Amino acid sequence: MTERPVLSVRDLEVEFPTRRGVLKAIDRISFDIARGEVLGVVGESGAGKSLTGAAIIGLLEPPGRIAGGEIRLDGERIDNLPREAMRHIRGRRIGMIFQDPLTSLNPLYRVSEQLVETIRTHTDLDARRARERALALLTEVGIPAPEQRLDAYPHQFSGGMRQRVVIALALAAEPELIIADEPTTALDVSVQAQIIALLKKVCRQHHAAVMLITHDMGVIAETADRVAVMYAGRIAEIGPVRDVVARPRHPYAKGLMGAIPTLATDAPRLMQIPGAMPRLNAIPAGCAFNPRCAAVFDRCRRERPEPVAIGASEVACFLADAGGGR
Amino acid sequence: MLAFILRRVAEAAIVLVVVALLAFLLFRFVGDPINQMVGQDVSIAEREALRAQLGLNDPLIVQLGRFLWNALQLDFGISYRFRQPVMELIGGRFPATFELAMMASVFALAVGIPLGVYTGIHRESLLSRFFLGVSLIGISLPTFLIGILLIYLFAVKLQWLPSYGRGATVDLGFWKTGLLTAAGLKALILPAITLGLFQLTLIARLVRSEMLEVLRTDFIKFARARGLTDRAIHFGHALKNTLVPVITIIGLQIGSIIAFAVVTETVFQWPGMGLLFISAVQNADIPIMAAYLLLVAAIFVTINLVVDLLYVIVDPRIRVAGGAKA
Amino acid sequence: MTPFAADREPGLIARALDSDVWHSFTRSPVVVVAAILTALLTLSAVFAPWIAPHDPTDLAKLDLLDSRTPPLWLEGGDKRFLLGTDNQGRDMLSAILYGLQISIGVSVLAVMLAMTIGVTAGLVAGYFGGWIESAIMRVADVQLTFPAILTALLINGAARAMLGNKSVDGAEFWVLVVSIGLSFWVQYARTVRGSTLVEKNKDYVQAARLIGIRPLAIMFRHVLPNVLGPVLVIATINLALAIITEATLSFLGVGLPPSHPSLGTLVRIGNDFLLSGEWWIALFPGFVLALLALAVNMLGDWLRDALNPKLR
Ligand SMILES: Nc1ncnc2c1ncn2[C@@H]1O[C@H](COP(=O)(O)OP(=O)(O)OP(=O)(O)O)[C@@H](O)[C@H]1O
Ligand SMILES: [Mg+2]
Repeated sequence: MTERPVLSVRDLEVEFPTRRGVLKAIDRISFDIARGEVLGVVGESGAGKSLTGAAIIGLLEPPGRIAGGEIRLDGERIDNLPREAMRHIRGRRIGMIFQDPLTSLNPLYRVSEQLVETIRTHTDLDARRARERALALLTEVGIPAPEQRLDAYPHQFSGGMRQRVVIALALAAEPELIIADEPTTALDVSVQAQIIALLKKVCRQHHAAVMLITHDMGVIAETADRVAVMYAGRIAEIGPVRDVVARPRHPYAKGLMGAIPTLATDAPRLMQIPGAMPRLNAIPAGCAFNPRCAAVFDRCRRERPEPVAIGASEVACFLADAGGGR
Repeated sequence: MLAFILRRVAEAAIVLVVVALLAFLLFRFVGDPINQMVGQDVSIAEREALRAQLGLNDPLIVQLGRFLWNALQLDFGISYRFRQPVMELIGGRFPATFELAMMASVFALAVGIPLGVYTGIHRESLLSRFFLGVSLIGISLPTFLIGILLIYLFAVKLQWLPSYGRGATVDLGFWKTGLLTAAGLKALILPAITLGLFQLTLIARLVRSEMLEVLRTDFIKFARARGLTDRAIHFGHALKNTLVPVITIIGLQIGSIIAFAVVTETVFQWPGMGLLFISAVQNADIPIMAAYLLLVAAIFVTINLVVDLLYVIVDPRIRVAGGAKA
Repeated sequence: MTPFAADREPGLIARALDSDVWHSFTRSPVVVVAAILTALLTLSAVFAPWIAPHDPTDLAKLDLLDSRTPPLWLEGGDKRFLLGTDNQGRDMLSAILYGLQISIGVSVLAVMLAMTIGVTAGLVAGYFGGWIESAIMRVADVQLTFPAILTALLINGAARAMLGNKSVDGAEFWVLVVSIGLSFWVQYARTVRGSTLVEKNKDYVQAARLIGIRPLAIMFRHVLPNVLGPVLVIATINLALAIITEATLSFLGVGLPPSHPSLGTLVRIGNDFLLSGEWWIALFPGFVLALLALAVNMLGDWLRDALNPKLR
């Protein structure tokens, strides 16, 4: 390690106490995000991607809680900070972008008001300066005629434009890390690529690292530096995007990558993984993926595989060395 | 926008016309006006003369026209019982009812909204649970019982406050007010609480459930993720978004405050329009009933219009609905 | 086999006995208490003539010397009168039991009237559409602008004017039923009209129409059962409102007369003696009234949530 990572997550556990016992939604995950790096996070619905993001930014909804592990931002622990201290980190040092730009903005406030409010919460700028800054941000995220649009209401923008505003808001106080939770899922296909490109561009300009949660493998392949594959609250495989996408080692990652339609083959190689991800109250012992795994063997049912380093990747599979058992 | 307002005004006018029609039918056909006006000893010939003089033999449509024309000039004829112009009677009592209704509304809003906000934010707190439990009882208690209990407690047992009447009033020429003397203000306390308590519970419950709803929305989550203060989130973003439904209900509630003023005025022998109306119902004094009906309808319709205009002020989305989209 | 039986959703009874509803009932103790309370109060009302120690309607048996006796446990109490007497020497306990009977009677009948008018209006409006629908819904809209209590007062006043000075015995009772009933029909009409609009386009109704079943028969046999669920919920919630409205009208002196007092009338009588310290005349009936309204209200709340969580 040459440089201290922006974000460092170690053995993070998130759980929900319920009447029928405690559900463990995130089970001992560890990963780093380097300064300026884009980490893609993929995995089936319910794998725990959004929860990981919420845990990092300190917005788990009760009764959800961090049950173990630690989260460090720039080396400083942030998972046990008092409320008020954590609030100063949100927006200022970690920004967040949600899925649906249509509902992320308060419909009753002008875009300028929401930008200025955010800027002034985290900086000492006076109202006039904050407004100038807001205008600069809108220009930067590519809103046409920003002087005229600054005082418009959210409903006067299209979906794509609104997501640009959301990106401007997330960047308003120059955070070191942006967590983008499926930032394009709710958008029209035609603007998805633009938004991703914009996100990547502005984050690079502001030297912000990105944790990009998405279902879109194409986006990952194009945008991410590294990628983490999550399954049932655990990280199955994490590594440089080239390795994980081209040569996945974990059987689940293989299945997932197989699901990307490629131009190389005629028919989309929609490789199906039989079965479905287990519910939180029925995660099997050993490897969580074992009931669906083609290469399953005894040990997988008894013992949980810990991530092992293979090249620049880490893979949580007993057969990782052997290339995932095939 | 203008079209929206015009449509609302037209709808309001239709309601008023229908009510005026009802009032006319009530006035003309319920009971015989002549019998009500004269004693037993008046001869048939004299009755017929009076009938002709009052125009009761004219074609119905002429009578309706005359009724409407007079109503527009606030002339509702002579009370059967008091033998005085109805408008004089009502006008003399209007200030008492107005001051009572105002105080009750202010009380209901000033306590109900903060209570709703508090219980919405701290929904697990002891106070919130206590309030929810008590509020169901409050909603089930008839207004007159609340009044009687308050009288028994504060007027009979503790002897702190008067049990009936307006106390001392000051005559401003056109308006008799109880707000300028200590006795007048003291006399206002119990009736205002009685009248406002039900609305208070309703408003608090409504604000609470709206707050709960709004606090779950994406834009609140995004506001938190931007690191805004709790104050800004709760009172700026959340409360403002509860306003549209709250304004609707408050508009309706002012209507029912006027309706229940009838009850409160009876309990406290408050010399307002409600007391006059009740004695009119008891004595089948139709002119007063018809006038009261029209007057109350006019007040309701006006309130509804004001509510519609308030929407436009609060919610920018309605503002452009009829106009040009930017 | 009728061609449309299969299309019908489970009827009211089937749904009421549905285990979910039953479960949510047994699981919330407050609701069980409310139900028991409602049952107890209703039973005491029905059997008032047998339970009540005295007959409060028999004016001949009253003795003014007994008037304003405090409850048994206070100084000056009389063991004949557990809860004391009113200004005419009437036993409060008996008066309350009879009053409860009248209050419940008026409210139940008023709700049934409102339901009949509202459901019929809603069915007709929804099924026939056109100007009939416009007319009915316009009236409903205008009436909805006014709080029910005002409507009831106006109808009450109009009825008084029509009856004139000839006091028909027992007329007050029916005047109350009608004025409350007429002020509560709108909600049923709106709900039923909405459901009817939905039902009317379903296959089974179309099929019934094709094989020549008359519209009225279709509406009552096939559309009605499907809208009964929400109607029942509204009725329960309305019952509490009707109880309160009846009491309020009687309290205002335009309901039942002191010779046949309802709970509201009793409170009205007692109100005059509150200042002189004879609190029991007003507060005992008031307490029973509050208990009744609260219990029915809670049942209504629960029923609404249990039958249709979305209605919240
Ligand atoms: N409040 C809660 N109570 C109980 N379980 C919860 C709660 N919130 C989330 N979970 C569970 O946590 C798991 C992870 O949820 P999460 O939202 O992180 O999934 P995700 O990977 O983001 O999925 P998606 O792709 O659909 O967004 C899911 O199984 C979900 O059911
Ligand atoms: Mg998610």
